[in-house]
Amino acid sequence: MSAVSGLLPTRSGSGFGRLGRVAGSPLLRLIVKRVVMAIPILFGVSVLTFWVLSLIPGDPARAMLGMNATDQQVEALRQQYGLDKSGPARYWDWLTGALHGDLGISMVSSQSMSSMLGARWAVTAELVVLSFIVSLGVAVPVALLAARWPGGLFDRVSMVCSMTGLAVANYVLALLLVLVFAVELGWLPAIGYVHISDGIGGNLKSMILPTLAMAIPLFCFYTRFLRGDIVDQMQGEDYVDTARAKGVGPWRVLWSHAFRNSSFGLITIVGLNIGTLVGGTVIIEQIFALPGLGQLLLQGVNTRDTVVVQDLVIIFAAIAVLANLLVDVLYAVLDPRIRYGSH
Amino acid sequence: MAVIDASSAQLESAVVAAGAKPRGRWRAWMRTWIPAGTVIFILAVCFLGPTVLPIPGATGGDVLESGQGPFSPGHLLGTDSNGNDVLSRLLSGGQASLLIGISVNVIGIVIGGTIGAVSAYVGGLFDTIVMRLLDVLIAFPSLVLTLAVAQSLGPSKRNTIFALAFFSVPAVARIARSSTLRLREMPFMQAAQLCGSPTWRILLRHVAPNVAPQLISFAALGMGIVIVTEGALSFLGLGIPAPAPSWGNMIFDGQQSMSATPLEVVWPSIALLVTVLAFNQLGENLRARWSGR
Amino acid sequence: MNASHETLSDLTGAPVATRGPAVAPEGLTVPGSRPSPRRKAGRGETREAVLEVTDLRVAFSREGRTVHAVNGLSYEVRAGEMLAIIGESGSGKSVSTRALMGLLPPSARVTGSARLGDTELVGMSEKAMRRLRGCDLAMVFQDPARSLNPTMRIGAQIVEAIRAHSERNGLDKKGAQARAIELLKLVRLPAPERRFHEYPHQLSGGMRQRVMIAIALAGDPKVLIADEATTALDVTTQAQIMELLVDLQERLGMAVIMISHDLGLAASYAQEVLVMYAGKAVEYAETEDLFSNVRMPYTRALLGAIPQLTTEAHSLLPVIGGQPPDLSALPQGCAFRPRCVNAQDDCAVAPTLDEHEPGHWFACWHPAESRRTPAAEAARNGSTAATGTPAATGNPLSKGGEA
Repeated sequence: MSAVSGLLPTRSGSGFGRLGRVAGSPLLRLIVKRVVMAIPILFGVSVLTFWVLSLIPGDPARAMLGMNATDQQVEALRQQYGLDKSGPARYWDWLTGALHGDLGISMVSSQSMSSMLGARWAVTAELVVLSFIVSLGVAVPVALLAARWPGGLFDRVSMVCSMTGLAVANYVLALLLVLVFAVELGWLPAIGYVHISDGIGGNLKSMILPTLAMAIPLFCFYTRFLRGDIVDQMQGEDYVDTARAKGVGPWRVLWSHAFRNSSFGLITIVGLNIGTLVGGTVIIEQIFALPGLGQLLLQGVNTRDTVVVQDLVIIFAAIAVLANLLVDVLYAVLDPRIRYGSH
Repeated sequence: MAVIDASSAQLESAVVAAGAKPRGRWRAWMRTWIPAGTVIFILAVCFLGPTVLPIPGATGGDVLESGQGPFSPGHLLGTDSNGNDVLSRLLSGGQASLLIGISVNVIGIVIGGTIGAVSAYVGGLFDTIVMRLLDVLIAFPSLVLTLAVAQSLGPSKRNTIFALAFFSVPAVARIARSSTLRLREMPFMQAAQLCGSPTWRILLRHVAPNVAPQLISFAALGMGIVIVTEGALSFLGLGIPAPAPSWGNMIFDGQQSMSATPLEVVWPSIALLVTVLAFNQLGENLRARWSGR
Repeated sequence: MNASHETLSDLTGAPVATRGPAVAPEGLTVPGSRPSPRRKAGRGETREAVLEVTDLRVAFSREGRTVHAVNGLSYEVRAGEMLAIIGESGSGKSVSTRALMGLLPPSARVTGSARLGDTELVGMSEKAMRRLRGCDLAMVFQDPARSLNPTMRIGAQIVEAIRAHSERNGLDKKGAQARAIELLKLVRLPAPERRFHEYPHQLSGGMRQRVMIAIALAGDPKVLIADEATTALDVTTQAQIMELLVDLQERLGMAVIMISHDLGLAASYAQEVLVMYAGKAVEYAETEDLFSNVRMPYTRALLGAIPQLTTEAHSLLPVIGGQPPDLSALPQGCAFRPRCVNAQDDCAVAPTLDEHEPGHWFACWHPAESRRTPAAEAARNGSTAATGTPAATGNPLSKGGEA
């Protein structure tokens, strides 16, 4: 009574067998379906951005050149950037360019977008990845400890702390961190970014406060969720009773049984959260003067550089969509109920 | 800017509320009324305070009076670098932030709730299209687009409300939609349809009362998020324009003079923290009560 | 005496070939249990009790109120025998067995005694309890769909049970895997080597329950507790699982406690039946005895409420009126009193579980078919919370009693 039609008749557990099973299975179809669904969303996102930005009153060219510019100058600029074309035409130009890797030229600095992005994306990536690792890395053990003795001292203290941490806006937290660690104690730099190539030590030092500012609210969020879900599993689910009745020790029950099931919920909320996480880099990079994508976006907004703003908004949104897609796929692959289909 | 987006906040709080164990009735009472009381207090103080309390106005201060510390005569919390009374700014800023928060949430519930519920109820192609649109909107890191919009529209209270509501609506719509989908399967809904009730009446009399509690508790949680986001916008200079106070731009001002007068950043930060905390806890309580866990 | 073949066993679908019906004097058609050759052999012999429960009580405190889930339960189980504990929801039957296993939440207070061989289970430390669980004392749960970890392979879950007691059985990982497959064969799971690597959702309900039994058997338990183990299964599967349990019991010499609300199952498979109500034992006897000679009004009402094929069509089912009592506010006196047809004034004092007939214990002042006047002393001496079998009276079931 094997699970899914179309399986290769191999023993589960053997390497090739598993691969064969995946290849022929609805799992692959599910993954492909998700990927395919993401494409119109990406399109939608880019169209939406274009549309919303085009609604904004005012002429970017004139705004850039200022009041004293002559009409010809403004017109010339508009032609240069294709602003005289209609909306859909501009979109089409952009799209064809983007698919070839050409994202246009900044109106303000006249640099190509691709080169500007190239310099900056690593900074944002480092911030995001570090925040991720720190927040999850601390959230899991804390949640496990809290769930081990629900209602106990550690649990209550950590829940109160995380509740507070969640309520703190990340920019407020950032300023607080700067106040304490940079201004008062002087241990860490308040602003500035040091490239890895200039020394890992310096790089890490400059990233500690920004990472903390991003990671702490995240950690609070993940911990609260995970602790709640694990406790739910431990108290409500029958398989936990079975595990206990077998004589399995409490830590193993917590980890191999409750957490293993809770991890799926965790993956889901991580995915839901990524868009906001990436968006948060805007304000953090601003406060700490990190030369990343977020800072670039803000600059573009302040200088009314339409090209920069357009491209960056779409990039940020695309990252969120792709991250969600990745999480969906990961979930489908890891959850055996989906991987092997239902009986 | 809020770390958690609206729907994950809802998911998380549902789980947490289920796991929470109040010990004893006294504790339970406190758990309900401390957040609710705080919220009421904050609302009262911020909306009535500036008119009722004998404190100077929030703007137009004398620069010569700047930089006074707390408990100075006439200025309970001192003055900021422009000579404005901090307490007054705090209250007026709170009023602005809260007003924006309430407006955004009300718009979100009314419009978003309607769209989501109608879409789920009607189903079919309409629903599919709406769902795709919602997907696109929700996929957006909203702050990013809001920045661009706010900058170009110009900072003002009204534009801020508009920009934030633009992203609140899809979040609420999604919740209303999933709630209505679940509701649609229930026997009493089918009974109402069999009775021959017109769609609008079913929506109004059956769907709305059942979906509303969830939306309201979501709105309470959403208050925190909106206030923080508005603060972020103001912090970046794109929300409420100076010299009108908002907790966000007060924090920004405080940042500028952080080494000299660190307290300036602390007051609005505390106000923000306490308000968000109270609304979050209130939202969780409402959630726990109304989803029967 | 009775030619009718409408027995409960028929109705539950259990195999009827070897069963013979018996009839109670009032013409009630009651199921007969099959006269087990095992039991007959045991008659007259003294069998060691593997598990002796004496005056077990479990109370929970919840929001300032105390819920008395179990109020003085006493019974005995012998190796190779099956005791069925019957009761409605809320009668305390599941709670009592979980108390034995130490699986209750920390807010539970357990008092009394439960001896597994020489070991006292009540008040045992969690560490010591863990060594027993899955080893000497095992449990099979009700819903196989939810009782297995959906994200863990079947084989791994069995191996986990084996490895949890690796000091006792000395098996390493490979050895444990081999033993797990042996266990799967023992529970007659088809294609055990393949199933070993599969996930629970890939198996049917009956197969999952077999896996649960395999897990329970992993430590060679002396006592197996089947907590409504077949309730979630369809009737045919139910019969198969019960047959499997009985077969294993005979081969391994285990004692089995079967918890159920299904009288038919009890009648078909158990040697002894204990009926619980409001946390207490109210009737306790060997199966044939109990069903052919029902004394407790409650048990009688339960049997009477079962629809029979001989019942006139469209007649009202004689259901038991009223509701089960609130366990946090138990009335003084007999807990069944508000719903009992035989209730009288002296039921305001709780009856004790006494061996009114050899081998047949019940707690009632006015049992069916014979009215006894309660001795005034007995009534006055009875405490408000009736104790179960007082230790002084010795073992609940006299050795070798005749039915």
